[in-house]
Amino acid sequence: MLYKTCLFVLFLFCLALTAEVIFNPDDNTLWSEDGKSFPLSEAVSAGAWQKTDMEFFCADEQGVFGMGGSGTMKNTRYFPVSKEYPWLELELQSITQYSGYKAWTMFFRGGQGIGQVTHPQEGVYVHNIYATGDTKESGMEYLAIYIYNLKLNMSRLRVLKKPDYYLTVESEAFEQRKSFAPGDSLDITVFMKEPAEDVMLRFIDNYGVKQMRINKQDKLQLKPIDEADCIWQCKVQIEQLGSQSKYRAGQIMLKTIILAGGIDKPVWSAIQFPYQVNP
Amino acid sequence: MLQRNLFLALLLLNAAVSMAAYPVLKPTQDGIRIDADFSEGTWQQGDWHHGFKLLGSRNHNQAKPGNDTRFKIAADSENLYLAIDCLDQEPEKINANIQGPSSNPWRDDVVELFFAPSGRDEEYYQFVVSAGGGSWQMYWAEKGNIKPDPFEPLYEIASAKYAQGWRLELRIPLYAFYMTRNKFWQNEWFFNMARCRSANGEWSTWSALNNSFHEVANFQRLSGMPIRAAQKDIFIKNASAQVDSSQSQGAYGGSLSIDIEAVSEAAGEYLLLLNSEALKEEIRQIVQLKAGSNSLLLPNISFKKSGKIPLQLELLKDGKAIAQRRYPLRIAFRPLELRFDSPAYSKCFFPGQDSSRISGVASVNNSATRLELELAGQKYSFPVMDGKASFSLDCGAVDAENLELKFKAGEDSLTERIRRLPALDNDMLWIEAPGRLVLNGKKVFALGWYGPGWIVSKCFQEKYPSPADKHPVNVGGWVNLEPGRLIKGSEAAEAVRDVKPSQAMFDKVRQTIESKRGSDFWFYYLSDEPECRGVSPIYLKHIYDFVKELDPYHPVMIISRDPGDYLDCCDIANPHPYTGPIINDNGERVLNQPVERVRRTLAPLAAQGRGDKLLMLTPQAFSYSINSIYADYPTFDESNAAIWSAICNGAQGFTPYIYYDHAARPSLSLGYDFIYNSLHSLSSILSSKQNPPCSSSNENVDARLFKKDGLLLAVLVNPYPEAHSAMVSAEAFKEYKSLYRYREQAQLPLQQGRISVELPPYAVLVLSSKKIDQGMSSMAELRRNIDKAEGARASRGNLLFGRKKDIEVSSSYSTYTYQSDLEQRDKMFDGIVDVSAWKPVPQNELWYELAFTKFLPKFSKARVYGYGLEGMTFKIKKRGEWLEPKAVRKTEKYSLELDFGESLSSVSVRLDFVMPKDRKEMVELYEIELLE
Repeated sequence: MLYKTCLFVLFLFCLALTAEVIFNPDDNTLWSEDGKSFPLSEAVSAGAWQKTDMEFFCADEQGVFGMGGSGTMKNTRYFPVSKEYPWLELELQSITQYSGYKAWTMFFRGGQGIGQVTHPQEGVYVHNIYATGDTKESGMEYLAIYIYNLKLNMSRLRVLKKPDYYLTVESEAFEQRKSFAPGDSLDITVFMKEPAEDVMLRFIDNYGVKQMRINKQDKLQLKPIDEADCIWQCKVQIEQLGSQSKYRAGQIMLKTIILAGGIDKPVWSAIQFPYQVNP
Repeated sequence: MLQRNLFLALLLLNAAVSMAAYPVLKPTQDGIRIDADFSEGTWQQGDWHHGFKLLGSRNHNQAKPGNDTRFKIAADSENLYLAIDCLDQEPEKINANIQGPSSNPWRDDVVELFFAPSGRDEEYYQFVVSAGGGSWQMYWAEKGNIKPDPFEPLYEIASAKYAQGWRLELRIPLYAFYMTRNKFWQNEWFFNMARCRSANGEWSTWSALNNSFHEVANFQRLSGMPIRAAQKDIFIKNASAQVDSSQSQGAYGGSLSIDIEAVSEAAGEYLLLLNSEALKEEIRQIVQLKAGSNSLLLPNISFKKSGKIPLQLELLKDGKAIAQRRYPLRIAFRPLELRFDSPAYSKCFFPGQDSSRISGVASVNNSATRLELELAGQKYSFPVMDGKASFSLDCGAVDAENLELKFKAGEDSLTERIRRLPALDNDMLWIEAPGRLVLNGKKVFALGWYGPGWIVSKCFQEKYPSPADKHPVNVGGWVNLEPGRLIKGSEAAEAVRDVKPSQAMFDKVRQTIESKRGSDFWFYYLSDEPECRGVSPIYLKHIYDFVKELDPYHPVMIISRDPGDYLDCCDIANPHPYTGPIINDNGERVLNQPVERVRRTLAPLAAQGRGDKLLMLTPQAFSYSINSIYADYPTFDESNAAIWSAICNGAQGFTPYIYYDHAARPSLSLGYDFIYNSLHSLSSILSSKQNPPCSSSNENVDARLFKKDGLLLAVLVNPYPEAHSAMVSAEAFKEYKSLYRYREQAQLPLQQGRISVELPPYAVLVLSSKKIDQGMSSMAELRRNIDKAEGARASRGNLLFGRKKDIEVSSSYSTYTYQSDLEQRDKMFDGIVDVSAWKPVPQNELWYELAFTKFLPKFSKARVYGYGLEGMTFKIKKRGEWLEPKAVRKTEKYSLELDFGESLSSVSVRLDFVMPKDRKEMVELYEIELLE
């Protein structure tokens, strides 16, 4: 039994050395898909993406690789998860659209997902796998990807300790009620690798990717809180948010617009707690 | 590195051992009896699934459910089996009163089962079963937003209370999941079980969910699920009853139509078994199914009841069920049904029509051999042949506005009122066979616009005070009778049900009609996309009949994607098969729906031959930039092909959506000028009754002939994005040697009544037997003008031109948003300087900001196009502060130019406007230009 286990461990070791998903390339990265090739397997596994209707497009000279296609696509693959590496990051360089209903979503089992329905947009998406505390703290967990009539052209898909650009949303309401409502305050902090000249934030309904007004404003202005102008923050008490009385967990997205800050794409994240006017 | 990889390998090993989805059990050889007793060998295997949690939003204290639930699930190649044990600490409080299928089980203790056999959260099944055995089920598509089927499969349930709670055992055949085709079927399903305890409102769920049991993406997964046999991939789609005779007291004769879809592996011979309380006896019939769609017609059916009654349908092969379902059958018996040919529309003679003869056909659905008819004391009698009686009588001598006709066939009778309508001073419209619109006695081809005044800028309106000042338009106004607009909330409250509208609704309809009496308008607008909200055709029919009674002079219109279902509750079917163009980042242009959808929508309506119905089309003349950054406008060629394809398939008018936006692109603005001028010039022949027959050798090419006063017009259309060739033949062609191309410099030769054409993508050929386009601009000229205008649009020197994806816009709060931020981005930098891009309804302040996300423009001038620009200030952002650079201002009526005299750059620009004193004079923005 020990001999068989050792052989299996060796097999997995070799797989890890050769796999197109690179594991622990540096201290900050748990794994990263480089898109150079996409080995597929019939079953859901840890060593390869699953062989489904989803098409994979190997990285071009700029390192942009694609997933998706015309139709309904899904893929599932096991990845290591660790609370030390809470951030799933993907950079959508562009999105190819096909006829029909369009949507994409990614999630680790047990946690909320991130995605957009109908009118997806390019950008850097950062998603804290542990924001709701439901994903297991270590071990292996499967990542599910659903893509409908889209090809996502990505330059990055990885899990990190800390992305170059990301944002956090904190609220006592999240701790106390696992939801938020009018009257609650949100503390939003944007962390950036390089200083920016201006940082704004929009609330977006991921269903239709529609802009929402918060307290009658279509954006929140953030202010730098560090000398290097790399950390910007705002605190807002919600009086009015959007036009619906309820938004599901993950439905409200935050689109960070960074001007002259070393990034030319918006940074997206999702509030992983539901919002309800009369909780 | 080695250490890391070893760690990873161990993690992977751990995953291989412990991370699989939950496997289902295999039934043991002793089989499974559905009796709520779990003594079979199958249920002795494996562990119970347990660990139910309270629904997150109902559980603020991290509590656990007070009552445990556990279950096992097994599957073989034909069925799923579930053993469910609902433990209860207060068994005396278990409610188990509801029984039977399609009941309301939620009044009792229930479990809810959710399955997604396609392994995706987009579509899923819900089965709700109560402690007493009551059940309800639904199939949800588009992430739970629509219910495309009255889902009712057959499955077996047994429930029983016992000392520690209640038990439930189920057998669900795989063919119960009949809405999912095998090609989408997976071995791993999303699955969840939830429980609602009625005694204390405790909602628990196996998968961790937050707000709703419908959070499918968060469900657990079952592995090892069997794939349904391809031979059982059959979808019994619907069933409908046609009743045409009364057999004896309370029983009717007629036929049943059933639609079934089968994959190729399922084609073959079946025994069709039909059972229903509505049927006099069980029906057994051998049927042959082919691959694809099958329409079965079963004649000589006896119905013993009328109303809405479930029909159980089963397909058996070798005595074994292959597919089963229930479907709600609507059975309505009319012993006597009338169709009038004179008058053919609305049972009214309109001013100028010959009202001296009444004729038509009666469907006599009883055993009578003669149809008796009485008018003004005069009696007539007509023979009934094969259930039909043609009647015709001279009523010229009857001098009355209302002609009351009494029909009698055997014991059944019917009274109908035919009206001779007096002439009015205002517009009178009606429809004459074959589906032609008549305005004040003259046939017209309807040329209109949806929303002719909506968001039209002041600048554009000055140029063209009305659409008719831009190109020929004749459609008058519409009066809105949409139930949801007349009484807020009425759609959900009553219009979605097959019921008669409330008196309040009738009163509101009457009030609206009376308020418009004496006004000039064309149509009543009864509903917009009723199918999307499940508005009942029966409900709308009641309102339609009421409107016709009150005002027969104005046809009733419904705009719908599914016009066939609503044809009986409108006079005008006006579908809108929008194409939804988008442009991908790589420049590739994609249509969400093909142009040829026009013919697929209209052709089946035209094939019904309803001369009393007018077909129109609402083509897309806008961009979906309102919600998509990728949206594009339809091209001239796509629009031209859609319009002429619609004409080939029976359309007699157009109301493109929407007027203000067609002006945002030269190809549409100039294109619609061209098309509407053509249609206006040809309206007389296009609305003529003569359509000589013709045939096309290529079914993808639309062909239709029109004839009037010795002029022959042929319309040939290729509505596809690829080229097509066709040979079009017509007897009417034999009179001519060649045909003239309308508004083009060419003739096409005819040989022995045939014409051979090569049609490029979206090509339209309008051919006439005489030259009839003198004085009109040519197609070549139009294309030159479009190219020129497009060139001018793109060469204005605006640094922001075409960069909608790279500019974020923000604005002050507006109490109403006419145009979304995405539409503003689409129109604010598009080179069109007279179409509205931002039209605020301000509250306390008025400003507009641009933020440049991917570039830093360097400019020395700014030009802003709009209205109300007096006093506007222009600011740039520097180090977090807004600064107002000095500028020389040049103001014109609809523009303001600012010359800064030096090169500026900024990540953001802000315009502050002076709040208008008079709210009627709002600020408008059409274009913002930054110039080097």
